[in-house]
Amino acid sequence: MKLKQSFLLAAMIAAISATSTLAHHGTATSYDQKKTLTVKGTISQFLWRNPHTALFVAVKDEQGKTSEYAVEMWSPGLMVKQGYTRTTFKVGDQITLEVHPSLAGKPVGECLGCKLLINGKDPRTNRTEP
Amino acid sequence: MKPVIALVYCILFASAAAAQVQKAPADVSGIWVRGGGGAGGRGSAMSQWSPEQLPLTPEGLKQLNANKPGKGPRAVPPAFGNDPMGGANPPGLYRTLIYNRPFEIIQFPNRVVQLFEWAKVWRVIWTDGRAVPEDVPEGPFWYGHSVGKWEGETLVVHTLALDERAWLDEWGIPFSSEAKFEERWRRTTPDKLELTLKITDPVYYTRPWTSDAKVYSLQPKGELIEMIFAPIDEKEFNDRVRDPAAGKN
Repeated sequence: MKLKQSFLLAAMIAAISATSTLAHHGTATSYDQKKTLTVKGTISQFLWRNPHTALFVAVKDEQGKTSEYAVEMWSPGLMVKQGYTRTTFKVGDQITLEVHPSLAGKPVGECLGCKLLINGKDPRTNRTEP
Repeated sequence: MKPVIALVYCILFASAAAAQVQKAPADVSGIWVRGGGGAGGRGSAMSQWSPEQLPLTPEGLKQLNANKPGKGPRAVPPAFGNDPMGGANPPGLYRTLIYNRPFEIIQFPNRVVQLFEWAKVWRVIWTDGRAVPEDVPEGPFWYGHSVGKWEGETLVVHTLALDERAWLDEWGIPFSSEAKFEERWRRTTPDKLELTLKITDPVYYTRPWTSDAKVYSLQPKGELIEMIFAPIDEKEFNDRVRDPAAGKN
């Protein structure tokens, strides 16, 4: 898939609340619930499927190499309750989101209610801050 | 058959059927979701169903240790577990009832039907006066075979023929093919429904054990949605998200 634009992947590790939201059959155990990682890039694909939605983001590292970062998200039902729709995440849009990263250090993260901006705005409110 | 004879036959048949159907003394219909009441257990053999240490037999303990859930005190990353749902298999009856997803109860004169949002399946509890069978030749089933009877305002349900590959809860608690279950459903207030579950399984447990009360709240404006796990979707999710997240590939 051709990318319109790519962005730097910036890693920002910070302590967060110990509160975690477990996905069905415990996918959350694969992610570090005590860390957040800021992922910036271009949406390359979004899967709106039960029981998980999944977002794929094209990110570019400091050497300019592009790679895919996968993000696990809520089920469509919970996404709707949180104000997202099947058309919120459009291929080619620029996205920034704070995920719980893979414990194995792989380019995969969990975003169950995480902060995210699409083209600089919260897609639910159209405001620049989540 | 002449019309008059047919009418008499219908009346007699209907009367006979009605005589066997116990009139429901309580209304448990509505959309319900578990919203509290009963915490998970303590100790090394813990279940979401009971606050007590489970009385496992050696064989039961062996199966417990073989089950590797992605949730609870024995959780492992799902990519390295063996949760049957990881392959989009059905959750089964009791895992569905302990999970926080809504279900609808519809009462008929001869049966109570539970419509589960999770996996979009239903379950029938026969209240037509039939006896609880010793065995169900067509089984086992993911959702078992259930016969119910009213004791006062409590619906007492006996369930058997459950597929032992399902888990009792999200924490990987096992039951054997010999297990039999007694559910006691009671509407304690207009908007609360309570369930206790008694498990008799001499293969995996040294004695019958009973859950604490699980409480379901009425959802007057609730609507069930589709929540099907399709293997085609689960495989892609496993390949691209879940397994890489755990470093499996």
